Amino acid sequence: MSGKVNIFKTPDVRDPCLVAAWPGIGNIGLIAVNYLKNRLAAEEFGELEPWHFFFPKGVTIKNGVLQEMEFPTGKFYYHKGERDLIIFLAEMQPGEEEELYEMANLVLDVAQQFGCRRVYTAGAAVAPIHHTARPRVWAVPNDKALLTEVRKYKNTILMSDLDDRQGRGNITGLNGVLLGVAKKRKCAGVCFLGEVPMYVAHFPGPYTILYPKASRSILEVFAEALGVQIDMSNINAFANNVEREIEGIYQNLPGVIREELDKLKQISYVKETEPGPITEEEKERILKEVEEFFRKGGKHD
Amino acid sequence: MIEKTPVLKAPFLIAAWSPDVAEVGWRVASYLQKRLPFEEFAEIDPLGFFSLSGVEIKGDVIHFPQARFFSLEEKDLVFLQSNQPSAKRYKFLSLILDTAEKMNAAGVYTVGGIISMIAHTDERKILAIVNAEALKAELAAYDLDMSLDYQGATSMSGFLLWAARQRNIPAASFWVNVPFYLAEKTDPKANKAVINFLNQRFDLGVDLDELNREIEIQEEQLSRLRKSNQEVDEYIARLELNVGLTQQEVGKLVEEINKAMS
Repeated sequence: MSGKVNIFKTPDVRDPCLVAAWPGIGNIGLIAVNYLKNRLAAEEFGELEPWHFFFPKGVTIKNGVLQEMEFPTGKFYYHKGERDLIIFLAEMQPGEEEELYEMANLVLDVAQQFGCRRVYTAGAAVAPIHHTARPRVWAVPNDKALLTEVRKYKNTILMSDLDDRQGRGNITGLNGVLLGVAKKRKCAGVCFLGEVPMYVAHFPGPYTILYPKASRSILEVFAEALGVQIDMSNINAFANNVEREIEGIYQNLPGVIREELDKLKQISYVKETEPGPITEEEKERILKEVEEFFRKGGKHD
Repeated sequence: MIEKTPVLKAPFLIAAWSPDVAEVGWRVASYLQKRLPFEEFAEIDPLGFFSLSGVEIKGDVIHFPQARFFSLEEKDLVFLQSNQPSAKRYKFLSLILDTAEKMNAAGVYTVGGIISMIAHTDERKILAIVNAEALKAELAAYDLDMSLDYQGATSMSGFLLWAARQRNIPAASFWVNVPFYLAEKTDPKANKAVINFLNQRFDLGVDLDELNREIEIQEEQLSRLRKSNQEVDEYIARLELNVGLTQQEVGKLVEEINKAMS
């Protein structure tokens, strides 16, 4: 293994799964995996040498002498339980393709060094859903042989279940690259993407908010896929608080926009359902109107 | 890429970056190269460190990212004049430090500007940051402020100091204060302060006449502006009295200076 990782403890794991996350849209995956790490009291055993991948985030100088340089972290944790886990959490994703690829390889090097044969990543799927709906989880495996398995998980859908997608799409950043590299190494993996309402994902600037409901949906799938018990009480409280916050913003939207968005309560963009009362053109128009509303400072004309 | 091996004993390597506040470091490097027999001997290939999807045009001319090393054998000195890389910055810094180690460098310095709430008529001071306490004694003989307490964002120079410390290479960065309204322009007074320091530190004996002329021209230009623009005069007068400006006044002063000095 390259000298860019420090392993300071040998994790006592057998046939572990790797669960990895980093910042992305709404930090959906990061919140879910960080919650999993905390609830399982996973123990840190190693870290990336972050300076190879990231610019420092801060410096401390005392009396003219450089003291410390702080970098975004990328840490490894392990959990021994019904199913042993290696968890990797990074505070950032590298900005360059080559570094993304290198980091994906390093993370897999560590996981495979300790016998990992299954990888999970998590992130967000921006979707035409209403914020009162239960977000589904798009499950994207890196091998056809896994399709039957992931289809069994509750509240998940495959890319081919989505209207007009024909099973196609793309996953940007490490969520995708890690699973691609895993596929290259013949290591099975699945990416779970929690749905985020398209208008919530587009709340601009000061209105940007997290969406823990999507993280909760991912955690529910993790519980099933990994066979672990996860106490959901904290994330439930978090999700409820955010839901109230979104509802407050929602009620402030002009009535005409709200009426359009309310249509999302009745439609489904998933196949084998009746065509919904909202078209692609309407979807684009609504998003433009929401953006325009916030551009004006979130005030009515 | 090393094109020629200069004969050096234990040189200091001085890095100057662009972009920089008022391009202080870059201008200092250029000023010294014009007056001293610096010879280019190596460069870092830009591939992988800079965006090369096209080229930038500045002042009607195509620019291409560069990181070039110049040596001054008679003073045992090396200058690196470099654009700031946008990718793989640690690897870039490692290449610089590899070069320093190959040359058996006694230390690494960086020079640059720092935006300050001062007037252009004020004296320029140099703030020094070192990567090891022991270096402070070496620099005690010079007129430097070595008492900074700071916690916050950092720069390529800060990153270089840290990376140098990982290899036990003594390193210091020197920051000259630049009036905020000259940050996008040039500040010959700041350049002069840095060259003065380097003159003393390395016994360079560089003539400052041209810089003095540049200072005179700029001061005349700003003096004329103060006479013709009461608002500008008032803001600069307040800075001279060490009285702060509001955010709006800062913006207005920058706008007026940019207009007058474009």
